[in-house]
Formats: sequence, C-alpha cells, structure tokens
Amino acid sequence: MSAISVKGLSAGYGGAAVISDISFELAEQQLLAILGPSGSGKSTLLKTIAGFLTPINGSITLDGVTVSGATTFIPPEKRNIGLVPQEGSLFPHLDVSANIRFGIKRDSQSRQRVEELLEIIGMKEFAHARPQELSGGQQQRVALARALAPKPKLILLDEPFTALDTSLRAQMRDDIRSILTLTSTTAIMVTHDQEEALATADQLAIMQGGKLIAFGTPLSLYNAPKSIAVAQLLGEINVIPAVVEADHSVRTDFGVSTTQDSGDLNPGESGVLIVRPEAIIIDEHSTPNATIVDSLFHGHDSLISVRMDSGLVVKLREPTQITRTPGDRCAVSVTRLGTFLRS
Amino acid sequence: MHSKDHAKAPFLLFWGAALCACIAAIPLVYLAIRIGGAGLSEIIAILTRLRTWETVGISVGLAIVVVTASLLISYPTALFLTRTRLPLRRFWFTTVALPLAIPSYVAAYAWIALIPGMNGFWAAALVLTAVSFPYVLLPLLVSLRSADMGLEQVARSLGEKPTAAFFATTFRQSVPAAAAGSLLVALYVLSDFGAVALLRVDAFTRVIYTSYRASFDRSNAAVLAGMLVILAVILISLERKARGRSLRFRADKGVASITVPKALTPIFSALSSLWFIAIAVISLGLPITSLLIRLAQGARRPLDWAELMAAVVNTAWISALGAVIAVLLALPIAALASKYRRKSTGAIESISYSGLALPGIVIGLSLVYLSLNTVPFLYQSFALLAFAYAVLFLPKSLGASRTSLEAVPPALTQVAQTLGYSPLRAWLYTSGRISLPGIAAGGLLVMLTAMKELPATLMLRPTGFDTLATELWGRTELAAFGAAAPYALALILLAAIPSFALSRSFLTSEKETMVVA
Amino acid sequence: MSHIRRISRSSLSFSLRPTRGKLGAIAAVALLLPALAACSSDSNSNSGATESSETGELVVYSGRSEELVGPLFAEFTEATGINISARFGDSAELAAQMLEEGDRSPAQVYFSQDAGALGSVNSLLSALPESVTSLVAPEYRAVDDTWTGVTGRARVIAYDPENVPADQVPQSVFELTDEKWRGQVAIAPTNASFQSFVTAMRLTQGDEVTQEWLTGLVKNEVQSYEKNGLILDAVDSGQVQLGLINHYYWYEKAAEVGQENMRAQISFMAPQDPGSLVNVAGVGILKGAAENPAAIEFVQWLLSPNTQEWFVTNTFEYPLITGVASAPELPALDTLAGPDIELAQLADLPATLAMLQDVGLL
Repeated sequence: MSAISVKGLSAGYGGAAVISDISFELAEQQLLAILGPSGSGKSTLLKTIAGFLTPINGSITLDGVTVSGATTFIPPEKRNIGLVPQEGSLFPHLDVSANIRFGIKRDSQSRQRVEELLEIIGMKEFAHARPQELSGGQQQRVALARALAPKPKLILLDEPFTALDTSLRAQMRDDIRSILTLTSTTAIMVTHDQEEALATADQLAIMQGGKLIAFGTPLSLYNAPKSIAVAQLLGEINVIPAVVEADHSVRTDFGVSTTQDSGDLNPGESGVLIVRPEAIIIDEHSTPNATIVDSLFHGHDSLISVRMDSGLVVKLREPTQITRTPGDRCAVSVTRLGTFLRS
Repeated sequence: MHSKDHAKAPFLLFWGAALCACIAAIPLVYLAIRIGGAGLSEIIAILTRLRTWETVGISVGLAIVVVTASLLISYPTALFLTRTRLPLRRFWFTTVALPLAIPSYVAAYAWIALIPGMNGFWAAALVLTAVSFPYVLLPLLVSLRSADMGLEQVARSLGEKPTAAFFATTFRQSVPAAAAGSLLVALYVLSDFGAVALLRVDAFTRVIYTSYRASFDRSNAAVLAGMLVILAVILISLERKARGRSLRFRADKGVASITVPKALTPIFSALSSLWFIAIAVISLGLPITSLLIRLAQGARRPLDWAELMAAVVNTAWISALGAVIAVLLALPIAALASKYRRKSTGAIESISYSGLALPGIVIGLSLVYLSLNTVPFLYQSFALLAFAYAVLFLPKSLGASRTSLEAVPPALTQVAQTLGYSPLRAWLYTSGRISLPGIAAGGLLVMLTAMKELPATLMLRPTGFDTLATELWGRTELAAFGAAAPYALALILLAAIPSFALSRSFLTSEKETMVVA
Repeated sequence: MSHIRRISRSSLSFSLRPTRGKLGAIAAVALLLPALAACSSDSNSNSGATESSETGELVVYSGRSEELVGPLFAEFTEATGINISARFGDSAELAAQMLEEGDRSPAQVYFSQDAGALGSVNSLLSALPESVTSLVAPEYRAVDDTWTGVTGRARVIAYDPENVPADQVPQSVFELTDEKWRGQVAIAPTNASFQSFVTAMRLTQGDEVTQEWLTGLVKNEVQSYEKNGLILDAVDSGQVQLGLINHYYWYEKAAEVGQENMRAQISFMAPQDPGSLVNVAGVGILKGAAENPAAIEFVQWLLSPNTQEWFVTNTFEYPLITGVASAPELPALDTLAGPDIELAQLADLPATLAMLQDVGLL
C-alpha cells in the first residue's frame, strides 16, 4: 500500500483552480521532490495535502484513509502530517526543546522523545537555546525534529533550503536525507532547484502551469524526459531536429544512429532529439565540422557552444583542461543519443 | 513584513471581525439616525454657514500644527534614544510615554494657572502637542530600533552623506510608523474638547458641544459630528495610503544589521540632555508643578482621603475592564486585517477607526440612546460603562494588535496546526502568544485613555459611581480648584502606571513585534 | 456622600415599550448583546442589592455638583429616611441626556443650575402641586408650573480694582461697548447663564438693540471664556478688567482662597438694566414620578426654610421663599429689580443662539 495516493486533485483559491487533475502515488519511506518554476502550483499542492486548502475535485488518501475527498475532509490538525516551512519558522518565544515538544503530549515519554530527536539532529547541546541564537541550518534541523516529534505519516518540506547559504545546502540536504531515512519517514519536498531535486529525491514530480507534467525516478526523468519542458527543467539540453529513417534509426546533423526507444518510431516521422551537453564531445582526431562560438567556465567543467557547419548551434560540456577559443575549428560528435520527441 | 494572504478569510473570522467593527460603529448608527431627523434645509443651512467652515478650518489647522510639532519633537528624540549613547538613556526611555497620563483639560488648566493670560490657537497647539506627541514617538522608536541599517550603509557606500542616506533609507522605512502615530494625534486633536475650551479656541468640537448644551438640538449637533466623521475617514485613508506605499524592506534575507549607538561628544551630550530636559519640563514638570502649587494653596474643605481612594479604585478597575473588552473586540479585526488584505477587510478596519474623531458627548449620547432601546436593563451599569470605553478606544488597541500580529509569520500557525492544534488553539499558542506584548500594549493604551475620559463617563456611569475624572470635574465645576488638585494629581499618578508599563514594554520587547498605532 | 446610596441604574427602568428609531436600535441590539452579556454579571449583582430597597429611593439628576449639594442630599436622607440616588452632571448635558432617554429616563427629579435647561425639558416634566408652587413667587417659576426656582442668582460685573476704581465700574451693560473697554471685557457665550441674560435682553430691549449690542461687543474685542469661574480667574489675575458672571462665583472663590486674597471685586448693575437679571437654579419632577410622594417631599424640602438658609450660607445665593433673608453682604433681591420678564421665557433659546452665531460669538 502506498503511503500517499493523490487522485485527480484540483484545488485553488476562491473557486479558481490553481492546480488541476494531479494524480500520483508514493510508496512508504520514499522522498518525493516536487520541482517546478515559481507559480507552477507546487506550494498550492503542498497546502492542499496539508489540509489548508479544500480540493475542488479529487481525493488525497493517506495510509489508506481518505483525508480529502468528495465527502470527507479531515482538518490539518487531525491528518498527522508534519510541516517544515521555508526558513524553519521556529516559535521565537520557545527554546529548542520546547519547540520540538510543541506537538507531543506532555507525559513521561515526551522528554525522552525530545532527547532522542535532539540526538538524531545532532543538537543535544542546544536544547535550551533560543531560535534567534541558532544558525539557519540549525533552525532547519530543529524545525524538522519538531515536525518528526509526533511521528507523522508524512512530512512536507516547503523549499527547506532556500534560506541557506549555498555552501550549507549540500550538507543540509544530506543531513535531512539521512534523518528521514533514519526515522523511516515518508516525505514530500517542494523545491525550484533541479540539482537539489535530483540529488535528494527517490521520486520526482515536475509541475508546470498547475499540472503534473512528469513523475518518476530522477534518473528516468533526466535521461528519458517525456517533453522538452521536463527536460529543460532538469538541466541544460540540446534540441536537435531529427527524422526517422526506414530502418527506424534517426538522422540528425550528426549523422544516423539508433536511439534507445527507436522500436516504436514510424519511418518518415520528424521530431527532435533531446541531447544533454555531457553527451556531446569534441573529437580531436576527426575532421572538423564545427566552429567554437563561446566558452563558459564553470570550475569543474566548461559549457561550450559550437556552431556546426550545418548552422545548428549545440552546447557541450567538457573538463576544463583544454582552452577553447572562439573561432577555433573542431569536430563534435554525440556519444549517447537522447530521447526522440515527436514534433 | 510578511506578504498578506490574498485568499478569502475564514467565514467565522471574517464575520466575527465584521461584528466587532459594527460594535465599534455604534456611534455612527446613532449619528445616522439623528442626521436623518434633521431636515435637508437644516443640513444645508449648517453646511453653508461660514462659521461652520471657520471652525472646521481652525480644527484642521490645529491638527496640522500639532501633528507637525509632534513629528518635529519625535524624530530627534527617537534618534537620540536609538542611535546615541545619550546620558541617562534608559531613564529617558522609560519616561517617553508619561505625558500621555495627563488629560488635556488638566494640562490646559495647569498652564492657565501658571500663565494666567494664556489662550488662543498657539497656546492650544502647545498644550495639545505636550500631551499627545508620545503617540508619534512610541511607534517611531520601535520603527527606528528595528530599522535595517544595512540599507543606510548601502546608501552611504554609494556616496550619500549621512543625513541624505538616512532620509533615503531609514526615514522612509519609518514613514508608516510616523503616519500611524500622526493619525492618532490628529484624531485626538479633532475630538478634544477640554483643552480647546479652556484655552478659548473656536474649534469645531466647541460648536458641537454648544449645539448639544444650549440648543438641545440633537439633529443639528449630529450633522456637525457627522462632518467630523468625514474628516476622520479622510485622515484614515491618508494613513492607509502611507502605510501601503512604503512596505518595509530589507537588504537581504539574513539578519538585519542592528543599530550601534554612537558615543556623543561632551557638548553634544549636554545639548541632547537639554533637549530631553526641556521636553520633560514642558510636558510633565510645568503642569505637575502648577497643580502642586494649587494643592499647597489649600481648599475650603479638607481632603476626604476615603473618597479619593474610592475614586482611585473605581477608576482603575473600570478602565481595566474597558481595556479588556476593547482588546477582545479588536482582536478579531486585527487578526483579519493582519493576514488578509482585501477591500472588504480594509473597510472593516476603517469603520472601526472612524469613531475616534468623535467627541465623547456624541459617543455618550449614542450609547444612551442605543442601550435604552436595546438593553435597557444594562443602562447606566458598570457593564455598559466599560463597554462604552471599549467602543470609544477600540481603535487604539486595534492598531497595536494589528501591527504586532502582522509581524508574526503566518507559517507558525500552520505548523502548529499540523502538530495537532485546532485553528483557534494554534492561533492562540503562536500568533496570539507571540504578539501578546503588542496586544497588551494596546490594552494599556485603552486603559490609560479610559481613565481620563469624562463626557461618556458622566452619562453612562452607574448613579453614584465616581471616578477620578468625574470627581475632578465636580470640583472644577464649582471653581474649587484647590480641592480639585489632589484628584488631578491622583489621576496623573494612576495613569502614569500604564504609561510607564507602556514605555517599559518598549525597552524589553525582544523582537520589536510591538507598535502602538 | 456616604449617606447617599450608590446604586446601579440597571434595575430602575425595565420596560420594553417600542420607541422611535426602532430600526437602528434593533440592528444594534444584535451587536450589543453578546459583548454585554459577557460582562453583565457585576451589574446584576449590584442591581440585585438595590431592588429590595427601591421603595423610598429617589433618583435625582443634578446639574448642581456633588461637591456642593452632596452634603445637602445627605441631610435630606437623614431628615426623611428617603435615600437619594443622585446623578451629577452638567445641567445642559443632563438635559440632553434626558431628552435622549425620553420616557425611559430613570430620572424622577431634575435639579438644574439654570432655568433655560429646565425649560428645554419641560415636555418631560409634570405640573408641580399647589403645595409647592404656592411657596415661590410666580416670577421665579414656570408659567405651566413644570418647574420652580429654588435659589436666585444675580448677574454681576466682576472688576479689577487695580485698573478700574469702584466708582468707574459700568452700571449698565450698554457701557461695555465703549472704546474705553476695548479688549477688557470677558463673557462666557457658551454658558447658559450668559445665554439666558441675552434672551432676557432680547425680550426687554428687542432683537435689534440686542444684536447691535452684541455686534458692538465683538467689535470691541470682547474676550470669550468657557465658564464663569474662568472669567473670575482672569479678572482676579488682571488679564481683563471686567467680566460678566453670576454673583455667587465670587463668594465661592472668596470662601476657597479667603476674601482678603481676592483681587477681583464685584458690582451689581443698575436696577432695570438687562445686566441685572436674576436667574434661578430650579427643580422639576418628571412625568413618571408625578405622583411620587418622595419626589414632592424632596422639592418641598428644597424650599423649606432650613434648606434655603443652607444655600444662603453655603452658596450665597438668594433664597426664594419668604421668611429667609439673603446673605448680609448682598443687596436685597427686591432692590435688584431686574428686567421685567418671566423666567420661563428664557427657554426661548434658539433665537438667542442664532443671534450669537450670527455675530460670531458661538
């Protein structure tokens, strides 16, 4: 049984739908990242799952219990869903342990539970610190512990890392990942940072214009996107015009080759190939077929734009040992073909 | 400042707030009924009378002068307190709200006793400024204390001179606070009767009082009072504009740079001390000295201590009860206005404010009329008197509650809800709890003002129930100023307690979530 | 004050008759009730204590201050056993309040500073019985007997002897428009006693003369004050040289600070001059209490020799019954012989107010 199942969900403000017809399922102990540009409806989806918005249509089922449906609506406080908002939002008038204890009954075990969580987030010595005295990362960890304290069925994280410095983010990502694993918690995280989404999530949902346009593992979505939009959201791409040949292979400016899913392609069909920059290389030994246009230094690698003799401009990524000067001639070839999309 | 939710407010909250706003608007209902009783020709006669506009002009002029003077006093004072290592800084901090303890009529009387010839427009401007400038100073202090210095530093780094940098950044951030305070001062001046009457200024309230007192023509007076309401609505919308236009801004997402008080050179230190001493002498020292002189001159009959103490006790508890009701009525409106920005919520907030410009006699008569027609068994009961205070001064508590609630991120309440708290409990344990100092400050302000209230108290108090203000009135009525002096001093002392607490709460407020406005 | 019962008004006016302005009232009831219910317990317990003793209790709306008449009311209770539940306020504001209360007014007796205020509420007052009206001369009570004067007060002119020798004090109000007194005359145009005096002037001298005189005053930079007491203070401190007030203000202040400390002195105007009007503080019984023996007893008691004597000693006002002499330092009431009008006519205020507004004094 899935931990959460969303079916045909539409919701919004004042009757106007901001998100529509969203469906997905998430297995227990998985982390789902919802990725999308701002205004795509991802926060609305989170609010609807949390119970702060009543759906216009559709249902949300948690552990087999419908919490939002045609006839049922369980208010947020009875859903047993934890929430970690942006910037942590710790209660400023309470110290760290009181923040963590906020959602659990005060009994003999509550103190133990708080200590356990302090241990998990590695902040034992901060039990009596005030939120104002903590760093951004520490605040986020306490916020997570506070949400975990009542042992929720699901945790919602609303852009949990945006308020943090870039150097802290990767560390925090790993921390939260491992805390969630350690506590066997199912979680949904909203983010607009594709790198963060790819690195953290077990499952990835991509939203655009209030619709769920892709759902799957990060790897499958990255390598085999179902649309240009999805592909673009997950990173730099080259969109290369292509035509299907009689033998189901695909012809592009790079020549003829066979794609992964060429089996269901009909000869004569035209479309595009989605090719990631790292799948294109400069081949020093072949005859030059392109001219360097531009080179952007990225530290570990460089993003290089070349104009092929056919006129097509493509971007490729290569290690920074070699200096490329605009105007230089070079030979480019594709090492791994991307997904073919019908136009 | 957190972005407001454009969503629709919950049904119960919206209508709860609307209900509370209607309660605050009770005097307006009464005015409408009375104005309806006036003939159209009568209304036209009043509106075309030159005298009406002369007095309106004087009142508006007085309000402009007093607001300007309050701003001129408050800005340097607030800057000294927040930006410099002024000698006795903490002491001055605790005294800033004290002038609010002096009723305008007592201040005016004390000044006249000291300078017998004192009268006229500028005299009234002086006295009214001395008793009302803390309404501007208090919110300004909070604003300057919490202002983000980062912006000012950016401006400096871009080559602006210190003063120019201040005006371009911090000053602009302080505009909403100054506007909120100015609104309170302006409404105070428009509705004041005591000081303008004693200092012989032909203000608009005097015309209204004369209308009630002499002609017993309630329709006439209601039309005049209705004009005051319109003036108030104009001022309120001006303030809302000032508030809306300059939302607060921060340089980055991090912690705001905090002001580090500068040390003063000895000469500057002495000058700033002189400034504070001058303000204290004018607003507190002179009136109190004058009353002490009158006290020393003695009275015809010895002071009845038991009577004085009874009045002190009565004043304290009835004004406290009024403050509690005012806070309870203001909370739903504040909760709504702090979270949901829509036309309808703005209207609810504005309606709640409009009564503040009305002189006490109008509010008193409106509650006489409406209570007798609806709940006659409560007429002239403690409950009704406390309720009258709440209606009169609800806007004061509303401003404070709203501002402090606005400072609490709405996510906190949502988090509490996901942790198993019902919406109301979640609100109480987070927003409500965190903004408690601000809400309490609003209550203190109501209590302080209710202690000084006279016309509505005279009409609505239970028969035989005396407060310091009514005892004071009874004695000045008789020209027994010597006998009145102990009551005036007792009133100032008693009102000094909430004033002092108000100042204290500014000193200790951790997160500057509290603004009086 | 200790003898006067302090009670809550809540128990005394429990009637639910429909009245004017019902619509607004009904709209407001829904709003008022919940909040009031929350805090009505204290008033309930208070009224509970008073209901049992309601008999023998008289509700008086008094425009005369507690400091002054509180002890007097206490004496009444001691003498008759009737408790007085007194509500003190400004005469005119109490009148406005009674008009607003209409027939729901808890008031049973209205004791006013001024005849004008009594006249304005005469529709609420009942005719006084013969036993009362026979005590006071007709010129000091209402034509329809709805109220009677209790004490008399004369209009006088206060002057500053350091600037104005006693023999140069004006004997007539008409002298006050003289250039000589430019900026030196103080009046209280919002005060009922001044307005009554202007009404009397209109009635005896005609509107034209009165308006001319008022215009002359304004041109002569007359100084307006809020109250008689403040005028007296201004004369006493040398701010102005002359001021129109009621005579007892001077005596009361003298009693407060000592006669020898009074710089200001007072002078009575010539007989028949409009400035020598004798006005009254008076009393009326509201319609609801017309048959109430306690109310009638109270009014009779105010007009009893003892009480009249008390006013003479304590407020220096003129007694209005025969057999009680006025204070020795005052000229006799009949020698004042003010303008020949009926005080009841002083209620004709609207025309006076219009005139005062016209000349810019209000």
